[in-house]
Amino acid sequence: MKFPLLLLDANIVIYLHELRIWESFITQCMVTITQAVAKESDYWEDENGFHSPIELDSDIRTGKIDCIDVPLAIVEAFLKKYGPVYLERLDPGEAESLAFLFHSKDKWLFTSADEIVFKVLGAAGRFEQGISLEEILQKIGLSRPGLKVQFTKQFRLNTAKKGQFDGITDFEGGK
Amino acid sequence: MSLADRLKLARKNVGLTLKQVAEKTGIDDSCLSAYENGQSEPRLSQLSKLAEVYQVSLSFFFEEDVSEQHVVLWRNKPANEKAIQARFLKLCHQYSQLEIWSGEKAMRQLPSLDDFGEKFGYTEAALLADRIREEMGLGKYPGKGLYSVLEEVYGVKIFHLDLGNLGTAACAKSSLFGYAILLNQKNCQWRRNHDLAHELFHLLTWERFNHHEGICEPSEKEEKLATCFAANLLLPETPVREAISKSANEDCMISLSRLDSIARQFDVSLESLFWRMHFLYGWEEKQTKKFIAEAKEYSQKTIRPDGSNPSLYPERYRMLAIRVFRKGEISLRRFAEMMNISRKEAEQYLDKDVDYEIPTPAA
Repeated sequence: MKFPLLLLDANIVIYLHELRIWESFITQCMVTITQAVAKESDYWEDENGFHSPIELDSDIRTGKIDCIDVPLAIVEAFLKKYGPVYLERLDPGEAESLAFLFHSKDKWLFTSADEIVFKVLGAAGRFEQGISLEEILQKIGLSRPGLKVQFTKQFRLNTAKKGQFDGITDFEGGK
Repeated sequence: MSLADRLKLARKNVGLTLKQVAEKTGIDDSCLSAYENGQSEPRLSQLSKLAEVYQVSLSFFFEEDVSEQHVVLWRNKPANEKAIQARFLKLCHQYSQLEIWSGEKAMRQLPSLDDFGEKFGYTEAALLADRIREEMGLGKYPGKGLYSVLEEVYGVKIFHLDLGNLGTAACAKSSLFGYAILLNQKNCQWRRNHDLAHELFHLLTWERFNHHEGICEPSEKEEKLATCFAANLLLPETPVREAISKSANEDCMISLSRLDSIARQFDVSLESLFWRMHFLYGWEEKQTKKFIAEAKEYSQKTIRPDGSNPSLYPERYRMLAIRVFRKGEISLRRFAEMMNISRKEAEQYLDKDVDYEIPTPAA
């Protein structure tokens, strides 16, 4: 059975390409990305600094991954609640994914490598809807040693706690 | 204000046609027109592209209130004034956000002019320069420290952009981002020093000359006062007189090369020094202009490091951006955009800050 209801952020899509496990990953997880994340997942860089384009179109066309169109009204509702300033602190793809997750009745999981994403989830009381790439890889048997720190479980736990317990700067203040 | 109106306003502010925007973003101009007429709505990723081209933050399209219309005072506008002005204001906004997210708003306000009377002429401009030099602790050679003091102590946002051969400098004051100055990256160090002091005058006298009420053009008189202020600030009378007396021979003659050394000491151009001497020694204007012409010829033959290509981003801005990123207040991609670096380069900054324990002062 595939790992269900998983929203990916662009930095995860890029890193999975850098680890060269994208294909295996999407066969084992039900991956969904937003339009903005698809646009942000432009290229990956190898150890020698060589850039290769990321081609998600065929994966979307063949149904290997889902790409959702989040109406602007849903993004606006998210920004109305948490403040438009989040568009300046998050990537558009992250904002769109969070807006969709907060709007949806399903229990989506969102994986990112940005502290601010986990902080927002923590501060919104949705701590359990954040997941690190390391945790997913462990669950689907694709664990890799030496993951970059921002993709680890520890990173997510540390930052989510900060959002949950300390609050994050200007959260819900809309400043 | 609706999203459609905001899209139209942002495009007008940078002076672009729908066709030009279509070329820059790859979004069809009929779609753009439909967005501006409220017939359809763009996706967030398209809005993000438009924000980039219009030099506004993405949040601009979602704010409830209409943002304050900023007054930017220009001294010699560059060819592409609208685009540069929009970029300058975007940078100011970004800088101010970094201050908020890092909790490091500059504490000090620039000195006020409350105790100056109705009249404000050359005498007052010179007096103001003396007072500012003293209050800011700029010492005998103000040109050496002015930039740092304005940036670090008073939080003046100073950016360097390529203003071409036409543009000189600009400044703005806003309730949103405070004080800001834009200098021409193409100018040499001592020219920028003068421009910095000149623009500082405008910021100090912003209300006195009614720029807070929307007056966007400084008057000719105001410009002359600003130049007088800059000369007085960067070339304080006593140290300049002392430096000149020390370098003159027993017949009270001083060579051009020695004057050049003095100009270097004060970090100003030879031309500025000559104009200062013009006022200090009461020279005839014709004579001063002749000296300046000679000085220009001399300057062409001498090599003086010009401190060219200063970074677009001020040191404090960079420091705040790094701090905010390390605190996890912004995403990696936003950090990379703010610093104009690649994602890979941005990752290098992910290391955490180190905390050092300092002894508690004894009670």
